[in-house]
Amino acid sequence: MDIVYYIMPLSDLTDWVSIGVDLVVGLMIGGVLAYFIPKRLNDSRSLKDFYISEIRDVKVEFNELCKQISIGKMNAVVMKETFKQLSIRLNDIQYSVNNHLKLDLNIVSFIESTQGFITSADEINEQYESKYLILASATKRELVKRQELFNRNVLSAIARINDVG
Amino acid sequence: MSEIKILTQFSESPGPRYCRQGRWSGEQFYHDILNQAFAEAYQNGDKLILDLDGTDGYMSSFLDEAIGNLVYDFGMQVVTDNLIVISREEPVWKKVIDNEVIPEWNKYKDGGTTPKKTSKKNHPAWFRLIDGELKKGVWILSTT
Repeated sequence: MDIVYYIMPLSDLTDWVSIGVDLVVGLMIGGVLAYFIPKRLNDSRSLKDFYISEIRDVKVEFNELCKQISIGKMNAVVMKETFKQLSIRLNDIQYSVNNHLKLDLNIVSFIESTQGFITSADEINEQYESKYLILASATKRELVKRQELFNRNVLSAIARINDVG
Repeated sequence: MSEIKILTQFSESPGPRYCRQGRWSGEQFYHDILNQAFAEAYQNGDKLILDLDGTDGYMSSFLDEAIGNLVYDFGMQVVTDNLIVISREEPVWKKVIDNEVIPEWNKYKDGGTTPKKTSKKNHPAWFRLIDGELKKGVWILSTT
């Protein structure tokens, strides 16, 4: 049997190389679209969910603290300690959120200003050693206002975290 | 530089504003520790570091009373120049001291308001800076 040799012309070779390059590039783009982008989106979603859940926890605890103070079930020492814990936790979360998601959230200032307001109230200092704190009506109203303001700002912070692309 | 660490030198649970309101008050801290330490640092040309970290938290009145009395006895400029407050755990307290307590107590002083002293007995003589000179005396009597 005769063997027929086919000599590929130069133009055909460049076509094949071009097809090969297209194939490789196509596979790479496909890989990025199929694996890396969803992974990155997933990582980013998980991170956002984590931050949101941490902020939500602090919100729940802060509201519980305000409730306990308002209904006269809290003493001054536990109150100042709880404020400190919440403020440290939220400061850390906020720092991390702002750093990783390039935001400029400032929700911890609402806890701090409430802490400053309530721990400077005359009646709280007068009852420092009492088993339970009884707030004056004006202090109670102001506490509720500050609580609402904090809650509103937490919701807006969560929306901003969700909006990050 | 000299240093006061509230946790180890005063209390792990600082209390209310006045002595009559409870233990470990800002008034007590000022008279037992801060006034003397600040006067000594000033005399030696040192700055005084006040470290707030490690306690179980603060009533803002505690800090207001302690630092406010310092402003009253030594003047705003001397306190600003010679007191370094460290509060890494709760940075808000440093801001409160710098931006609210010090300027407000300077206004009280200029307006002639006198700090209250509420210990059962008068506080032992304490330092006050008068015309650039440190003097010791019982400047205000206790009224419980």
